Amino acid sequence: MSNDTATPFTRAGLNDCWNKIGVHGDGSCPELERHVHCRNCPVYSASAAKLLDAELPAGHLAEWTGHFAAAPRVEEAGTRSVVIFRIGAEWLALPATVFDEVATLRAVHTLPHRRGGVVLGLANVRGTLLVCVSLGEVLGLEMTAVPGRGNEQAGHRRLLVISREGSRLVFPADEIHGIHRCQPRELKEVPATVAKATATYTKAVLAWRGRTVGCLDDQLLFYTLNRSLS
Amino acid sequence: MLFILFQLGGDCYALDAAQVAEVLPLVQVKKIPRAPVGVAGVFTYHGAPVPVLDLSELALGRPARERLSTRLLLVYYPDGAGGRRLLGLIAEKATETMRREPGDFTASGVRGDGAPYLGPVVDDVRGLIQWVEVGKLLPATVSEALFRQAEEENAG
Repeated sequence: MSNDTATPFTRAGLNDCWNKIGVHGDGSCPELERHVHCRNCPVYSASAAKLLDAELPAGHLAEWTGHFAAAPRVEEAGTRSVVIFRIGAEWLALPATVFDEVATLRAVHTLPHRRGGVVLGLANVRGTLLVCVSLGEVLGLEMTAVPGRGNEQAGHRRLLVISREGSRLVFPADEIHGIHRCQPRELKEVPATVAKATATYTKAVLAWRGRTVGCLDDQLLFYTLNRSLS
Repeated sequence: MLFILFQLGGDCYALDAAQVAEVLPLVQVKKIPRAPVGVAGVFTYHGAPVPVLDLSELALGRPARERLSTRLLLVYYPDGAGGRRLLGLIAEKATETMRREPGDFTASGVRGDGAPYLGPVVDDVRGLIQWVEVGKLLPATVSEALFRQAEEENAG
């Protein structure tokens, strides 16, 4: 504290022992026996404090001043979070509370006598075998690829792990946007022109980035999925 | 009891975390001409003006250095009429917390008349840590003037 010169924001002057002998290195640090993980070690926290002692980046003050000056966003009662994902050409949403995990795509092992239909097979997620279902099949969506996006969309595919009242399932989605907070007034009624099967499971539609997202009824969906398993 | 630690000069000081509403990064503060010593100015917090004290200025007579580790602690300050108001405190190296019981602190034995906000001390690996009492940071006349000033800034 005695010197008044600022330490510039450089990683060069930092002894990143955690990358060399710590948990991200070869783990040979004798201190690891006592602290178990580098994040418990005083050397690690001292380095973090050193990084925080840097000069303010350009625009930092102005940015935060503007951020806190703005009036707080008033959240209406009934605001809820949904996870928006895409299956085929259809953007859909389910309440964020039913999601356990977004996993990378992995092999789905087919079950004998269960080819086609809602159940796709079994997938191994963190050592647990979970039933993999096809939401597209339940909702009667066309599983055709979006034209012109053939190759790039394969990289966006994920397995979504959902659970509700003890039943845990996975389903593949072609793309995931993430969590979106929506207010009750943003939700509109489902138009009568929507295909029958989809309409049954869609509680409301949500306008999102120029698209229409179908908010699914998680209770009904799980009911149907559980029935199709038996 | 949880304390938020910060530094004045080379020494460590602690604030009762229950009196801290929020820890913000440093923001631009609008200066108030002829304000009492230690008053850095006013900033807008969610649409309302909040007066800001610079603890380094108040205690050491030099402004806090502009670092990422220098933070703006938003505390509840008793307004004298039974209520409480928000007050910003600019504190250097406000990056750590500490869990201690109030009984661990002992009187420092030195009482400076110029700094009534300095409370008892506790021994720690970081050295002696002194408790800073939020409610005694400002003389009553100053705090009254400060909050009135903030309201006038808002109206003007």
